[in-house]
Amino acid sequence: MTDSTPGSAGMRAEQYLAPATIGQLTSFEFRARMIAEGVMSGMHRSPYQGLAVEFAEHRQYVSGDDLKHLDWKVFGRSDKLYLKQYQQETNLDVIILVDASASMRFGTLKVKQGWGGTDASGRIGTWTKFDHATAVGAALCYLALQQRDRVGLSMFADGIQAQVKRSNTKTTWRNVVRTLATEPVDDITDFGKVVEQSLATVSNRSLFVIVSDFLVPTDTVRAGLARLRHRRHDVMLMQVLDRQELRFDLDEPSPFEGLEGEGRVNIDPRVIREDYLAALTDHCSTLEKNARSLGFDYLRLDSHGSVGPALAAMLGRRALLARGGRAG
Amino acid sequence: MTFVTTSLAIAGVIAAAIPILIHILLRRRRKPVQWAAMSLLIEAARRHRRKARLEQIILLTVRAAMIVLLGAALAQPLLGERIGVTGERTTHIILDDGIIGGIIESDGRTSFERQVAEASVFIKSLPGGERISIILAGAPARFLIEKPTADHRSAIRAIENLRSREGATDIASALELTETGLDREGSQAVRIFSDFRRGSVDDRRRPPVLHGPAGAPIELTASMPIDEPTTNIQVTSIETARSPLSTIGTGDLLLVEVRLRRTGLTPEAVSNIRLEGDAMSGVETRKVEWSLGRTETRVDFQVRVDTDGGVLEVMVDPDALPLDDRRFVTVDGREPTRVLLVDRDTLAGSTRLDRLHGTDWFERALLPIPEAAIAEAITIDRVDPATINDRDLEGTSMVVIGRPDLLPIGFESTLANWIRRGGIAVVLPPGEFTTRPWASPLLEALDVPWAVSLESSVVDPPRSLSAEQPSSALTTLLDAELVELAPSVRIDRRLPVNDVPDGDVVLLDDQGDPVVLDAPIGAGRLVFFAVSPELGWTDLPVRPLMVPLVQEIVRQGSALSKREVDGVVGLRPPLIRQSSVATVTFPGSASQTVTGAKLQIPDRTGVVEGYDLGGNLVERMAVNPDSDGGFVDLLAQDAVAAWLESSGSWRFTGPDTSVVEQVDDQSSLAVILITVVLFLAILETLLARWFTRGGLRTRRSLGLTGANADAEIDRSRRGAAA
Repeated sequence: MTDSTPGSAGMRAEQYLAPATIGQLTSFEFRARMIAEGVMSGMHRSPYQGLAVEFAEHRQYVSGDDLKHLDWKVFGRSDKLYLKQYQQETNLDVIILVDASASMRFGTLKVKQGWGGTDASGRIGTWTKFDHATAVGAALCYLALQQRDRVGLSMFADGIQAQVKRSNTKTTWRNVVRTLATEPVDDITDFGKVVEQSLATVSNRSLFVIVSDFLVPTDTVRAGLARLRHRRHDVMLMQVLDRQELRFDLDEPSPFEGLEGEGRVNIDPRVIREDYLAALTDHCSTLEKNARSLGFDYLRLDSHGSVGPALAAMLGRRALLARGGRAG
Repeated sequence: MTFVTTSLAIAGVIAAAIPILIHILLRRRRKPVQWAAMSLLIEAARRHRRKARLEQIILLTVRAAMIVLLGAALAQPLLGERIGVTGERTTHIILDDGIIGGIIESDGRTSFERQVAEASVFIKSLPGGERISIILAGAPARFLIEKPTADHRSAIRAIENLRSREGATDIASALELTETGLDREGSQAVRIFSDFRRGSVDDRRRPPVLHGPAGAPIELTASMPIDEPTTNIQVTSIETARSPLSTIGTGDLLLVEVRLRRTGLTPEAVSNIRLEGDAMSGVETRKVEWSLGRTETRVDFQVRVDTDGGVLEVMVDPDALPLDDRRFVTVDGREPTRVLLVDRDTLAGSTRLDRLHGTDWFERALLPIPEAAIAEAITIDRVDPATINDRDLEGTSMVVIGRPDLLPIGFESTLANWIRRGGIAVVLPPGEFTTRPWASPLLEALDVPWAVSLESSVVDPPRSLSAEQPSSALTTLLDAELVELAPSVRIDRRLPVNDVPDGDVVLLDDQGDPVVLDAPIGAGRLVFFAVSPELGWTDLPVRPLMVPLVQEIVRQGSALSKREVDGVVGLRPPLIRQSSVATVTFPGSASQTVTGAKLQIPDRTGVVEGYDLGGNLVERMAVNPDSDGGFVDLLAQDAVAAWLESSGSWRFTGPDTSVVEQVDDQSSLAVILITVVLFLAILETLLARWFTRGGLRTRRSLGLTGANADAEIDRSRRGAAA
């Protein structure tokens, strides 16, 4: 891993975080750092901040930290800025669940020469939803690790396919990157099973970040979320959809083949576009309503769009909520 | 199935194949689209299916309506008439085999042969199961194939043997025959093959209204009237006049009057007329110079004919229509004219002029000089009215009935039959006294409308014959003399006669009442004297008018009767005057046994020969072409359409059987239907496009966006605002 960030000096966060930009970064580390720095540049406060319960240790002040946690005594003695950290805050577990089902293999943004990405996208030649999801997941991992939160990663389809155990050690990041880059994208999605398997490995309150296209029945998603809520976990739903899926502006009648074995249907997109968009809108709004009703965050991402601003906006909002006394 | 224009049908098929070929050539196998949100797509398809069902019903309705309306438009809908007859189709073909079909065309074929060829092509083009009947329109119209048949080959063979006749065309009667076959099940069509020249259209008759089964409409199609002008010179009549007094030389001098008519084009031309026959020796020719526009002329021949009589034939140079270029006439052998006087002889040899009966005065007028040569030409017999029978009428040219009130009861019908066969009956009033109402039975038997009083009345003051007499066929040769001769005749008594048509009056008195009447009855005549030629009634017997009047009654009466004896092809059979005729032989056909008074209507020009039981030739009768059917003038299509209109709405087709024009006063309905079909076609296109595109939306919805894309849109808007 190198510290070099190409063109970072005058580059705005949105430009950093557009797929066209991050796609040129050959490693997940670079990608994650760019995303994280872009996100942080738009924030003044750490997004992951727990409740102060018991002092644990000092850590060096970084830009954006709340000044109220500065240890003025240490500053008076040593003329250095240190923050007081508490046991609960440092023990915040962030569990990133990245969807690796076959539906995530879909993408219509053409991959240009020299772009990096997952093995799957390299074969298909397009920037898939999985590429986007892994970029987001890596960035979130990076952010959490930067704040010394414990991070765990799970790749799921019809169950947990691969897992990186929660940790805030330096090897965690390497494991996360390796897992994201090499995990095959296949199989159907069984959301309920994934939730059950994830809950089996978690005992304390955690933040679950689920990055998926959520193209599963909304009632199974709601059931899974309800299980998480019941265990007092916090959840961020990040729905990644391709622009083609969002707009469905195809013109040619064609056979459509499901990526998860739904079979083939001959359809004239012009004829059913309105009905498709209505069905998609219903699906997404139901999903969002379910999430909000359980107090969870929901964010829909277009895989052709930049990741940063939307992510930053959501994390910022969470930070505000955290200042209001709510655990994040 | 048949096509009006085969070439168009082929072109249509080729045109229809073009988009199919393009579709096949440009067809590409579409690569399946890998799709993640398949469940949503299936859900969308399920949603759309419900909506599409309604759309498909709407489209199906519109398309079905288009087809129904198009079919209705092509079927020529008739308002108020029932449409939709089930069953097989029957086409009734009418062929114009009248004399007009004998026109020889530039290729050497007759126009009828061309029409037969066209009809054969037409029949070949019909679907295999379609039945046809064939009616021939040459008079008398008749069925060639009455019971519709699907054996098209036999039908074609049947018409290929046909030749045009020498009778007129009678399409109206042919359509009447057709009407009798239209009540069968299945759709019906009528197709007329005719050139529709003037000779084919008899505008004195209107075609009947044609009704299909249960009033269903019939498809009526006719050939387009021909537009190739030609000229035709025809012999319209040949009349002979031989003086009954002619006894000079070895033969009789015969005046032959030939009338010619020219139709169609009338340029300056020269025609040669030729007269020959076994009634004369040698050949007589005349030359006629036609001036521009002249249509009729008369040519007189004066020939010496054999005293035994025979046949004369007149011919003109062959022209476009040769069938009416000749005509026959029979010349009777010289035989004395027998006159039968029917009266009761009450004078017992008295010669007192004031007691002579009308029949006596008639006898004296017929033979003014008994010992003169004319006595050889006229034989006069007498018979009592109470004893007269049909044998007395045999061989008699004229009967003069002085006491009609004494005729045997029932003799009226015998007398009527004799008159209809060419006899001339002169009826005189029975005198002052009558024993029974004699006039009504006789007039009813003869179908004459006159009302004759029972009793005569004295005319006081006496009247005289009018100087201005009506034109009558009997007194044609006396017209010039009547002005001077008639007024001197005094009338003292008369038998009133009423209800006399103007044409039946021969002589009038100065008060305008009829004195002598004349009515044609069949081939003969009834001449009635309302004033008996007796001195008690009038001084006519002793006036100079008497002899020429009686002579003309005999001569003109005989001539007029003879005109109706000849047969006309397709119109009138020849009249047998000799009761001994047992069999007759028609030209070109087998003999026919005479069972009644009437013979069959001849179908060919020539001489009909009558034989007695011993096989002896006793009578010859001429059969001539119907020159009224030989008018070759062209008719406009509108005129033909107007004439046919009474039978229905006709379409006219050209030689290639393509429909070139529709003569249909209800065609506007078809036009309206076509317009509606076009409107529906546009509507269908719009609806199909609308349904395909998901509706006529001017702005397509963008669909959903991601939160990141929303942020990009916000930024781009802010940038634009800045």
